[in-house]
Amino acid sequence: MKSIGLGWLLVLLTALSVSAADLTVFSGAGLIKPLEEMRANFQAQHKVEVDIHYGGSGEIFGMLGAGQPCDVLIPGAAKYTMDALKNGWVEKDSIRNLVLHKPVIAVPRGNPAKVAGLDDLTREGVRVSIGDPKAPAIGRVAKKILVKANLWETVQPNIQVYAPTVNQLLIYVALEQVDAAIIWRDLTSWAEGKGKIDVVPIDAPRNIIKTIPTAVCTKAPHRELAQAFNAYVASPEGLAIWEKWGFEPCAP
Amino acid sequence: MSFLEVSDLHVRLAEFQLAGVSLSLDRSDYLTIIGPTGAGKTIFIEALVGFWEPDQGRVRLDGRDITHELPERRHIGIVYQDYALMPHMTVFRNIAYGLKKHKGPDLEDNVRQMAASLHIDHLLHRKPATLSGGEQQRVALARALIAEPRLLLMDEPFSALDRQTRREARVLLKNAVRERGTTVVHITHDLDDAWAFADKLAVFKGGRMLQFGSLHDVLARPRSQFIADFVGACLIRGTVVSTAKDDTRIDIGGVQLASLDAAAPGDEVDVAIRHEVITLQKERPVSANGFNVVPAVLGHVMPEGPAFLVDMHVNGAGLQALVSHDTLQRLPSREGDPMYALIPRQHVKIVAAQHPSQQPVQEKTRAHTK
Amino acid sequence: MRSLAADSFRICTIGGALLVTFLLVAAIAALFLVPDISDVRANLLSAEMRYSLKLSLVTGILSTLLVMVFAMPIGFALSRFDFPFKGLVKTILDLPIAFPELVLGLCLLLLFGSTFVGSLFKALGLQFVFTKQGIVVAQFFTALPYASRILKSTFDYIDPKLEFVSRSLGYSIWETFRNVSLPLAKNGILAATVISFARCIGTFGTVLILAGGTYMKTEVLPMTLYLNISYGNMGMALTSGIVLTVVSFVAIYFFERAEVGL
Repeated sequence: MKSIGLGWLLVLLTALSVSAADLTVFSGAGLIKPLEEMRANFQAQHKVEVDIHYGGSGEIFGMLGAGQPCDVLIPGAAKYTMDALKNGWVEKDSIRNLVLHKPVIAVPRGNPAKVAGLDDLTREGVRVSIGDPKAPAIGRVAKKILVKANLWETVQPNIQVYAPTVNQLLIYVALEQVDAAIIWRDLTSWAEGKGKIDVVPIDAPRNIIKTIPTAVCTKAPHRELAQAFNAYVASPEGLAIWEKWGFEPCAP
Repeated sequence: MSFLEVSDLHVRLAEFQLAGVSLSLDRSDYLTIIGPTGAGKTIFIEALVGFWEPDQGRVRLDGRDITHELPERRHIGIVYQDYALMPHMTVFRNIAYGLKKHKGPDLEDNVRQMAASLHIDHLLHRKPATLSGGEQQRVALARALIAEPRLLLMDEPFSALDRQTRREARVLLKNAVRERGTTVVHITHDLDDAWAFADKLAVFKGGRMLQFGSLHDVLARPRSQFIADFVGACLIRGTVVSTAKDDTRIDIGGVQLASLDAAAPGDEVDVAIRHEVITLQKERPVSANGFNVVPAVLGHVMPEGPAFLVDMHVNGAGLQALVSHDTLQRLPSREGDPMYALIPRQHVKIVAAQHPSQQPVQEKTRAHTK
Repeated sequence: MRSLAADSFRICTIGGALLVTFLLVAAIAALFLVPDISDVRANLLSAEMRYSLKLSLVTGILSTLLVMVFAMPIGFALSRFDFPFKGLVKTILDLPIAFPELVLGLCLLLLFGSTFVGSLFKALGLQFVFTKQGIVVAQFFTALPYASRILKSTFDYIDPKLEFVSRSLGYSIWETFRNVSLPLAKNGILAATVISFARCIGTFGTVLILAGGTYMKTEVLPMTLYLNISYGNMGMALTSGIVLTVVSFVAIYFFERAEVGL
């Protein structure tokens, strides 16, 4: 009896470890929707298991630095890929720009504080939330936009919370705990579709638009598959999926 | 009006219910309640002290209705089987805990006096966990008595003690409550406790009170076979055949018994005879004035304490007698052997007759006069 | 005499215990061995760590006091009294133990966000969303079930007859609680306090959602750990991990001691 139970336990443990092995991708948490769809397609095509770890861009960058095995790196902003390149963690030739990451102002449905643009974030009584400037990519970008627009000092009293994760921003807007949050355009599409939030664009000259790149890691344990996945997410088929989820493809 | 009057008390708990208890006590009465485990004895006294809210019925103490009074206002003391001493307090503080109302400069004297009267004054600095069962029992008693309760309730106070300690504890308790004239309700499953103290006796079973009366009445006239077995008596059915002053003859399957109790001819009656009043001998006695002499057949013999309980048959009716070892030696040795049972007339008690002329039972009358 | 079967059983159970203990010790040792000692010292003295440590202690102590104030009557009521829907109340009070912290945080955010309950507290000057008060609320709800469970079983162990006797001697139910139940529950109360404090200091998800986890504002120790993982500052993250581990050790030490005394 006991040995049978132990045997099953071993089988289960090995099964778990096998299923995690074929390909590992580190990705920014905001890219989960399109990447999950692409993962399913890729798995079906190549008959392999793909493991995607979603985290804050800083977090996955740190994990890569700590030597965690990773095949493909798709962070929320190009800066991380460039830093990784400087450290020799990704292959230069494999870098492809995928889509634009465009910051917008998300407001609760009906826009209760009547936020029309960046300048309104400094108006007295408007509750604002941005990502922690040191943690998620959107935090860093939001700070840069506000600094560039010369609003960083004046917006300070209005900032209710610096969220360590990008998902919190969305929850806080949807639950009307803040009147406005600076957030990626693509992140809003789902909640907007559900009628929970509205989107206010940031005027183009003052906006800072990021690109999302993909790259194969130099120490990729599964090189060939990694290159295949890297190519797939940048292929026309892949780009169509990005677009479907509200991302704007880069000009080729 | 009685000091304590309980009328038609019902207490319903999740797994148990006590139904329709009525009894009354005079001041300084000592009531012993006996009954098997699960009879509802503890629930009854916990209802008296106020831990359970009765669903029906009334309790009056010293002329006042206390049915819904808070426990802390009743001035009723309780001593539990496991003593329920406060484990975090010394013996001194445990006893002093009973003196809530008058914590004055004489607190220490009062506690010492009480402790001395129960021979525990050398233990005052100790914690309860370090005491023997008998010592803990006396601390619990001291704590209850020092509060000068109007009514003292005791739940099997002696059952965890060894024989010798129990004997000493009985003497101490008896003196302590007699001196103070305390009214006591004492629960036990041991009839010896009742013999030692009781003025009144109540028998409980299955959440009901089966019988209540003076100790001697209940012992001599158990109202049912269960009670008879419990208090150590025989109960047999017979028919009254003739009556004269102090000489009622009852026919029991062809054998006649004479009794001093009154009854009407033709009545169907239950006759009770206590086990210890029956004498047995091998030969028919030459003269037996005042005794019923009954031919009997020896049955099973069982040791009971230092004595023996002897089963016998009298024309089909079963009787038991409690006899000493010496007596047993002089009896025939085999089951089925003939012998004679001598039963004093004054100990042949008529319990109840089917005929309505019989006196109603005591506590019923009381409940109705209320 | 010991049978062979009993012996192999012994070996299996003890072996299992030793294996898991070894893995735990190794994991905790790694936390202390990986970082550079001088780095840890510098991190401990940094403004961020001092802020986070102080905020953790202040909120932790405050939450623990609040937890105890509520857990004491809850534990007593669940142990001693019958009341309608008692089973349901018990289940619901225990729910946060099984609840993921994030879900609890989300529930609290919903409750104190836009409902009349939130407005009610707001009118009393208590703002729980994105504030330090919010940290206390998050910690309170995370730790409360542990404390009320421990206290319930503590009161279960106290013979109700002791309370009965006290009342028969003229003490009201309040006096009885103070004189008898409370002193006898001393060890359980200590254990509940320590466990609550450890839970309060360690809770992350609930605080993150309700209080926001803003750098140097609602930043408690687990938040420092998480933020610094995000920043890529592993040294700082490890240092907060060490501080949290030390707090847990001290808590468990006291808890075990109290258990022995029970």
